[in-house]
Amino acid sequence: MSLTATPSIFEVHPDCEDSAPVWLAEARNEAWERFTSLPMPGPKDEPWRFAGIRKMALEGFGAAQAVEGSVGGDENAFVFVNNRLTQRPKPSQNGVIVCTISEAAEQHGELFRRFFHAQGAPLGSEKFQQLHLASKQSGVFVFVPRGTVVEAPIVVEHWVGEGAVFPYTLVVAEENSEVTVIDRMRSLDDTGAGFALGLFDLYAAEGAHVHYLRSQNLNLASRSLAVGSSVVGRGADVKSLLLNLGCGWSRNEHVSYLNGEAANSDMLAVSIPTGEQECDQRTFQHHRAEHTTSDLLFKNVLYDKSKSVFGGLILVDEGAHHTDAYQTCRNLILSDTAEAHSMPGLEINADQVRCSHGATTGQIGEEEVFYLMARGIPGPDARRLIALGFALDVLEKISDQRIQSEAATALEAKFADLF
Amino acid sequence: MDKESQTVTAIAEEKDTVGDFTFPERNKFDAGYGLSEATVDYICDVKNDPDWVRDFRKKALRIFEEKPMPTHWATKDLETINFDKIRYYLSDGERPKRSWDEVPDDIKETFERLGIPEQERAFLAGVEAQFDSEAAYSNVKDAVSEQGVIFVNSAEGLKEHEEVFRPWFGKVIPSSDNKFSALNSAVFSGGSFIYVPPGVKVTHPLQAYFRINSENFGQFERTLIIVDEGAELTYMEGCTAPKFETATLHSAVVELVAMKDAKLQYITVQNWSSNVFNLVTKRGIAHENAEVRWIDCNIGSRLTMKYPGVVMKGKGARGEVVSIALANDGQHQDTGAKMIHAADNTTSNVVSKSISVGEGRSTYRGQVHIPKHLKGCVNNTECDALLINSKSKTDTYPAISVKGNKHATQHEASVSQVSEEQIFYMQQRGLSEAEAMSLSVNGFVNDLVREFPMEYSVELKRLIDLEMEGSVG
Repeated sequence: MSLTATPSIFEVHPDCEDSAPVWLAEARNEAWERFTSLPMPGPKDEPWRFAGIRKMALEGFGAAQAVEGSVGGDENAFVFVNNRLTQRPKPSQNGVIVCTISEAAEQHGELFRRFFHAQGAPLGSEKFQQLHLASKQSGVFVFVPRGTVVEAPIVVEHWVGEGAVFPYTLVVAEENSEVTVIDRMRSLDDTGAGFALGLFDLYAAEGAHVHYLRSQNLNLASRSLAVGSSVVGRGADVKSLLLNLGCGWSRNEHVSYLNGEAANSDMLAVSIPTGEQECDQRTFQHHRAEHTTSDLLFKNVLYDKSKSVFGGLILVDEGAHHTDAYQTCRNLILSDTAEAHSMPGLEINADQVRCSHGATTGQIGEEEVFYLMARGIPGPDARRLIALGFALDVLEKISDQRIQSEAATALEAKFADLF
Repeated sequence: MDKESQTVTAIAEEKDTVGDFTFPERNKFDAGYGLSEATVDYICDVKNDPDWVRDFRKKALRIFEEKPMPTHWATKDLETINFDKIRYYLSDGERPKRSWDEVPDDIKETFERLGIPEQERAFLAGVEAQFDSEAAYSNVKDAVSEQGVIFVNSAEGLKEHEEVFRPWFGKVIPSSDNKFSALNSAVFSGGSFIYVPPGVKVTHPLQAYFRINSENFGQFERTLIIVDEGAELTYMEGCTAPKFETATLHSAVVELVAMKDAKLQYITVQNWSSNVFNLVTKRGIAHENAEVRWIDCNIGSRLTMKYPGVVMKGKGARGEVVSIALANDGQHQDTGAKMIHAADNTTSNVVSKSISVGEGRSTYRGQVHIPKHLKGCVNNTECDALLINSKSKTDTYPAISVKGNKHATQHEASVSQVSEEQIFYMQQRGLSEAEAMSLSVNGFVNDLVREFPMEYSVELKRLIDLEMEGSVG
């Protein structure tokens, strides 16, 4: 590892691109100031309870450097290698804006600025969110105009070698539009220690539908921190699925704001930590209007000495009556040394609310294994099948076929690797 | 009466004119306002504490002073407590009473004002009533002492029964556990010490009534209950307090020890007046195959923070918390449970139901901890919240940590309202809306109320009816 070759991202403020507009350059400077003045999160901070803060060790990372050659990613995808665009797909439908973050800043200034980094990071990572803002971002800006249905999914691949990258996925779906976005995080090799400090903001205006998959499968030397938001308007719907398969240490912070009547957000996640992987997830379902619904299902399958942390909160504002909000975290522990921490939470300030949360932690039932073995399936295969079934169950809640099949393939591949 | 205590009495009487309390107080000893090493020395001198207790108190005082308020997770309301405006020790200095007739008339009048019926007062003959910080009345049933059971106040316990008392005192809840357990350790007075010898099953529940009746006077009871191998005990604690104008602080520490195969049940009905901060630390240790149950009901106080815990230290130990909370206007019931599994095949169960009325807020905070290298641990947690009015609030913050694959835990929480159909149905049959509401709420907690002894469950139903008055319409 040659982490010391480039200066730490914690110490050097990267230069802004020359082509960046003035407002962006200023925003980055201010963000750097805030980043340096905010304290590092500590174990006594409630949003970081149970987190393996020592395992993060983020300060050693320098910015990822450009690499030679191509990676041969999906030809229909935007491909970023070490934070740099290396490939773009054929232009999209008319009227739909799909471009890189830096292009958006130059070409769609006013529109882009309204949504760029407009959400805070209330779940503990404000410092890192400021670092993201202060840095050069990779990733795409997607803008779908009123009434437009984008047929093909927009696919973005981030390949990470050594060092830090700053992916950003900003999706804005106008009234009654529909779009599917898939983010893939991949490592260039098995050993390079990368750090993906990413953001995703999904905006769905009245009646819009947004489907989102974030499939993270970085190598075990890498870290990932993702701060995301779903901002859902009246009658709109955002469905997101986070797959956490790789990384030595990963953390997701995902907030849903239900801003208009009949808004719905589905938040789904599957994590399969093995070895000494740690997977930390914090969520927030904020119901700000009447008749809103949200449903959260996070499932973790834990092997070896892995660890999962789930901290979730449903907040129902005063006056957000007739809210339906659910939150479920299920841990399946498959080894004697794995550990699962669950902190589901509710804060209800309104009336006529139906809310529940549940958290379970358990192991595979011996009867289930016996049943499969009695039908000629060897014990280890039986266990793997049961664990796979447990994880695949989450995908049933997904309406987008492409996300469903991509996630299923990724999960099957992960379980096939395990034995 | 010596000279010093006479002047102290004079000061105490002068201060007492501030409250709206009408009974003359006869506080022979009063440590004055505020807390310092001198206060602790004063308490030690008055109580004639042995040296080890004095050291224990002083060490705890230093911990109290060093520890910050836990406001990084708890309510900011805690910051309104002014520790300098609290009197840390008061006592009428008389020996614990042995029979009802010897109880002074003004104390009897307090019972009267609290509305305890005549029959119940007679029943209270088996009761140790806490008046100010010393047990003003204590009549242990002969039958109980014949069985070898020790039932005394904690001051007597630490002096007369040091060999049983000292090994467990401060061991279940160390002074450094939290800021308020440290405070209690520094200034504790009153509370009970109970020891049940091996194999003895105490058939009648032992009771203690605690009452605050001095303005700005916090009660710092210290209770230690040890139930030896194979023994069984049920202990009941009920609190009621007259209304005062400024906030009072109540910070008790209750330690329970259940030895092998023992069963210990601790029942609390808390109904402090709505200006009391009730910050209590309660924990039990359950050894092999022992069972510790906390049955807890919180109706009164301005802010209650109470998370009864069970450390399941021996194989097959069981822990249980059954909790009812009712939060009305201006109240915050922040309750919960802490289940620490420290041996194989231990099981714990938490059932919590809360009702928020008006602008009341109820919170459930839970911790379940199952460490490495254990097997067969099971936890079940259920919390249900009922919101009555549109400004009622409820929160749930459990934390469940499980290591290893030989356990099962489940947590479920739900929030709901009284269904309009139910109310409508009952109104159709001639009940008023308020009656229908009361009935519905009583139905919500009914399965838990049944866990309380009969006289308590009757009282509870009455209290719920009372709290529901005026919550509709």
